[in-house]
Amino acid sequence: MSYKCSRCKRDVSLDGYGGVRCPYCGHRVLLKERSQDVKTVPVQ
Amino acid sequence: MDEEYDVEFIEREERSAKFLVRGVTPAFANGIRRAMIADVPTLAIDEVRFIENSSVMFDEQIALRLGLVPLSTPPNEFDEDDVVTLSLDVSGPATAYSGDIVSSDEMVQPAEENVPIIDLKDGQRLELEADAVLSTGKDHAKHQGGVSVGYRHLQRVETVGDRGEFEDVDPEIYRGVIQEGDELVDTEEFDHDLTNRYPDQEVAVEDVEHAFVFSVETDGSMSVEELFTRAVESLDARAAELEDAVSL
Amino acid sequence: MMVPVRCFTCGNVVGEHWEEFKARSREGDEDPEMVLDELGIDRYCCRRMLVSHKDLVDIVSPYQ
Repeated sequence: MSYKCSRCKRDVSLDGYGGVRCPYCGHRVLLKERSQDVKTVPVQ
Repeated sequence: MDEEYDVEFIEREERSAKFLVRGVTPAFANGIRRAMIADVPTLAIDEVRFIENSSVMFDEQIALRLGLVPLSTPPNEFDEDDVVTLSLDVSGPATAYSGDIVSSDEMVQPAEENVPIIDLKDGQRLELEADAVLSTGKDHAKHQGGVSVGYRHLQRVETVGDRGEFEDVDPEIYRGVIQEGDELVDTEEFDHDLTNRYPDQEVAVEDVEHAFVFSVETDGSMSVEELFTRAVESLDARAAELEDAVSL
Repeated sequence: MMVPVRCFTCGNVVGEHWEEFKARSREGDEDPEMVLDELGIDRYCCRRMLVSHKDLVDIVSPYQ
């Protein structure tokens, strides 16, 4: 799962031990990145 | 119904027309109207594969917008389960238009070039692939070829005498097409008010039996003539199917 | 957000006229009624689609 720190904009990966926190600047708000997969959407 | 019926155009443009059909019953006229709305198949985008979408709108919202863009549908070229692939790739800062859609089939193009899909800011990108399928308006409104399809009775107007000199004149509003003798007149010519055309005379208005004035607009996927003939074909096909089903 | 592609009520395609309508009546000083007449948008269901529309992309985009 890849995230991006909302303050320093660096890529962050969480390992489950360190809690939700940016290892570079300590900011606690992380944004989840969009998956690289192709997403199929039906039109309705 | 009469064996023969004839069609006379009153107004004829690329995407809209007004025409008079004589010799049909009200039931048949309504059948044609309903077939033009719900039974003539057109192509429309039905599935979208997003490779990249960093715009401000969700994938589902963009997919819906793409679905509503009319695609030109050549007659008798496609079957119900054919798929036409289209693609779109626009990088910001720019606006993605329906005209940017690239089709894999030359015959299938967006009928409208200037519909904005999404406004992309600096660094945003939209890349996608889409599948267009053939279906009817019954299934989804995006497949509806006829837009604002309706009909009215043709009305015969006759003068029956003079109006009293000091009588109060109320407007007599009629919308559609009237028949004066052998001549057809669109009510737009006199602002839909018969008292403008006959200021000093009393008039009698009555419906002309079995004569209907259709006004038809299409979304651009086909011409009015094509839409109408294919609606009649679909009615014919279903009548044949019914006859087949009930005959022993 | 973006202009609706079609009129909600009748299904006529109206999105194509938005940019001209916006340039002439919102940013220019022409009467919206005259602009709509010239663009050939006759029915009031289609006219309200453009008259009541507001672009929100520019307002929303800083908050991505």
